[in-house]
Amino acid sequence: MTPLVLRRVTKQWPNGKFGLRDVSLEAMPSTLTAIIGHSGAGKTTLAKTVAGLIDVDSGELQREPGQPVMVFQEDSLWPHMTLLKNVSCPLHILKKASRAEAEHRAIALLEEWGLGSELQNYPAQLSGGQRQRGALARAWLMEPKILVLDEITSGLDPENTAAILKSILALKSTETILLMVTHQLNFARAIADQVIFMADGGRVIEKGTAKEVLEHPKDPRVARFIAAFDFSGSQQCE
Amino acid sequence: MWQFGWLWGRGLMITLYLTAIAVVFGTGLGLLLVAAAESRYWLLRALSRAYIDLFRAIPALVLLGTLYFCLPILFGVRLPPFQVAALGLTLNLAPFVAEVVRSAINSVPQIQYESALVFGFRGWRRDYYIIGPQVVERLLPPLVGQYITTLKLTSLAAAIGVEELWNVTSQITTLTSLPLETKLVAAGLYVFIVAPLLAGTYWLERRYGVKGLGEGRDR
Repeated sequence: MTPLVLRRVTKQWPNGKFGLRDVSLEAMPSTLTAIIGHSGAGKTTLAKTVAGLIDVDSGELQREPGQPVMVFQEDSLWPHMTLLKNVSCPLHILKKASRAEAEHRAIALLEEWGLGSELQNYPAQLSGGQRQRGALARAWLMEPKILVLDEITSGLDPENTAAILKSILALKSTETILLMVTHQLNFARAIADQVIFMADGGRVIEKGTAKEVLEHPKDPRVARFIAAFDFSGSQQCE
Repeated sequence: MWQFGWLWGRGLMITLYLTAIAVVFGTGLGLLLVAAAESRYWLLRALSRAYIDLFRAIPALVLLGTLYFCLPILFGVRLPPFQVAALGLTLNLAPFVAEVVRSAINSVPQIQYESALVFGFRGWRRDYYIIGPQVVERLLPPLVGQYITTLKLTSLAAAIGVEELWNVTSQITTLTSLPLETKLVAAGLYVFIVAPLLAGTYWLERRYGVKGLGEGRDR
């Protein structure tokens, strides 16, 4: 399989600000790349660029043919469809699975993820955590070559966050290239094969293995960010 | 006054017929206006905008009177009152339909387009499966509201001599000298024909209210 490759990718917005500046990155199948950094650093822009939602101004973007799938921070389930329809419809319409087959697979996965009793509910009738797990299930069933996750656990309670992280862990055993924008540094530390730190209006200022970036950061800004996280984390535990 | 029941009946039928014509053609023209407003050509966009703003500003009664008296003078076209009323109510409804449709399209959040795209829903598939149903759900309750307004505006056609419900009410008042009773019957008849449409809007609101249309609410 072709890896995902970005070479010196730059994106400038009409107002002159940079979304991405000279971003280079490589990710292999069956790996997870965690993207961390301050708000407004360009993490979501990078995620959307990889997912094909943003055209870049310059640089090179190579990826395996096929639709990369993305799960968003905001609610992205389709509000006019039940949870079951949301999850089975792309499989049926776009992957040409029969309706019965698509629904069968959707039901099996949703039941496994504890959403079996919500199949006929509309997104507005689900809790935030259920909606986000539904969105992840919908993406998962498409078996994408590249799956981009943009802060999908933000705003969720610890139990729902844990359930989602567990599912992501299971995804890692597939061939999928996983790209995950996250503030879950402990999860990144434990699972990520590669960590990217973004700052400075769209720049990647540090890149390496989870150990390199999160435990021995070279850039003082990364060190401060991690220290702040460890501080707020320890405060929560007391 | 009840011996004029057939007259009420005829007035009622003309009111409904006038409404139906204005709704069908007004909706069609409104959709054309939206298409023009979204066009690549600036001239079409400008014309659509100008029409929408102009006809939203002209009161329906003024529009009917102007058409009725000015068409013969300006263009030498003398249409029967019913046709003038149908034309006037159509021209009056269209810009409101256009605004309702446009705001329904604009109110679908960007994330819905993006989440369609990242799964590979493009072109007609995106519009048919993902965006279209959301537009229609947002559109229907206000659109039915506009239709109710149009139905009520048909009473203005009495001013140019169309024998619809309000006109026949005046006739029966003259014939019976019972102004209070006849007016109350007319009001009751309007309520009677508007009620099913109102019930329809409540049903639509209930039906789509459950789905919440993406304004995610926690349980």
